[in-house]
Amino acid sequence: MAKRMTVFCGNFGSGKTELAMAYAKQLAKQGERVTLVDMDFVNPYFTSSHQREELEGMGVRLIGPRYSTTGVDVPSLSPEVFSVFIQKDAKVIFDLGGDPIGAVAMGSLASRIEQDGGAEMLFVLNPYRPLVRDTKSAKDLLLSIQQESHLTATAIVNNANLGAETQAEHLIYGDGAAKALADEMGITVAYFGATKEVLESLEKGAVSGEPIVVERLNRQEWML
Amino acid sequence: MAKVLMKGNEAIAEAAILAGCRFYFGYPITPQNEIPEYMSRRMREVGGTFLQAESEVAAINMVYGAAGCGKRVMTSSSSPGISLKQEGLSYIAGAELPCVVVNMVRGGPGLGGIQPAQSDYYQATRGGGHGDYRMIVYTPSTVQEAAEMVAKAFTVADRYRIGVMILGDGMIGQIMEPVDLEAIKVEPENTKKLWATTGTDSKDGKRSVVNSLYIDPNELEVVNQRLEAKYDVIAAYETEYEEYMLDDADVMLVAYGTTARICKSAVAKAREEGIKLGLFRPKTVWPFPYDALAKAAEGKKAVISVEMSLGQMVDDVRIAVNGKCPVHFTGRTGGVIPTPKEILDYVKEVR
Repeated sequence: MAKRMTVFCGNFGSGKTELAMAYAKQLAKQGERVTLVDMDFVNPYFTSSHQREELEGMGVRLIGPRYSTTGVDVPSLSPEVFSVFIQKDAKVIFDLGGDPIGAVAMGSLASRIEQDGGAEMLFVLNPYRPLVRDTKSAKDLLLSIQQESHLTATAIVNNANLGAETQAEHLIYGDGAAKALADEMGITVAYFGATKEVLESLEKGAVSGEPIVVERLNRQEWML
Repeated sequence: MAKVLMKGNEAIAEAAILAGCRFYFGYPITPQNEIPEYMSRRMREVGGTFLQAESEVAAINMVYGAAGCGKRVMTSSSSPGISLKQEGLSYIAGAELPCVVVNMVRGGPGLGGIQPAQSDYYQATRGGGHGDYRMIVYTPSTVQEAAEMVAKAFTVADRYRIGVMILGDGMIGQIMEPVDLEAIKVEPENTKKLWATTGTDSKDGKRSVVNSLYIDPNELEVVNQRLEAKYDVIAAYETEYEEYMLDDADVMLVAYGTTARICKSAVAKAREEGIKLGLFRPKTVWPFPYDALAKAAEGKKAVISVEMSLGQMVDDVRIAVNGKCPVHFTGRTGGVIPTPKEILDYVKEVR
């Protein structure tokens, strides 16, 4: 991936945050300087800011919404976000809020991203979530996210999952759904998200794209 | 595709649609906003009505209106918003109107916070509004159960002409889990609802009246006695609970909702260490399973109520146990979620 900026977008609950965190850690392990920008200031419960210690321990710089994890219900981006356009030697990962509404905040940064050489924008698709159950609905959602974020999707991430009940077959179904959407948009399926266990059960070449190994960092031990 | 991945709030909204709910009135508040958001889209698709009212007070009175016309109707909110609805809920109880009310509880009192809590237990089970009345209160512990309880709530509401509450907590609303919507049992809406204000055509020229005003004290006393008799029937037929690893347990946890799941993890941890711990989980907190809990508590060294509050359900646990064994309490509040380890540490302290 040539561009230094990567944007994860999709509908809420599609798995953007877990993928963005996993991808950031993956890049950091390869020795890259990585900044993760959490643009999701709407989600009150499951955010990357809960994993600040873990991420910073891996060398990932995290820029979170100003009041995340405080329980204050005030959507506000940190001005620190603009530092990513100055620190040119770092890879930057943007984790957008869900749906077109969550993508609005990105619109204000789109021209800066263009000046920086553009971004890879990855549309995360979990066809087991409501509102993206068929290609037409997924495409409608993607088009409105593009409209609000002023960015164009460059690839699809197949993140088909049923939480703890995910099996290889779900990712294979997701591969079909992701390809159908990618064909419609004239782009490719660049990645798929899977936990280590699911990845091991998946035959090589069964699904397209490179794996992003998801750790489900925001799950508690008592959750399913 | 049998299963889908849904937030509790989404699953609750979809289950209501499946159960024939075609009217939703509400006002936004975190952490239940996905319910109105989902309804705003789905109601249009199924030919129903979604209306964001100007306030919670307006929304609950719209529920009164739709329920009075015999329609399946729902509203949802979170703690501060449910407080605002209490006047309407009391009128709904007085007029005996079936409806479903969802409370995704957050930390209080006052504006409190947006993280999950169980500190609205007294309000939900004692009647938060004025007068001698009750609501049936279901306490789902998983997303699947939340969806199933919503579908059931509409049937039970019609059966008894009563308001039914789904008492969740923010976590039940926000957590995402696999849901099998096809497994949700929806009973056909077969109650005739002759009491509903639907005009005179089908009632030989007579009209129905939906009302909670009785000026004559003797008349109002009779109304209250009738309601009380109805509540007794509900207590006899609609009480629900789950017993988890209680057969050989010497210490029993009592918990509902999200806390019950955390307790199940604590039970598993305890068993690894050879501690015989079990869980009693009320699935309805009104009617509260007093008799079943009393029976389950027999011979236990200790009973511990675990809550995301500073101790509310523990009162009902004490009523049930009635001094037969020691009753303790542990919990976190204000939006803090207890961990399985904290619960297990407390078990070790009291046993």
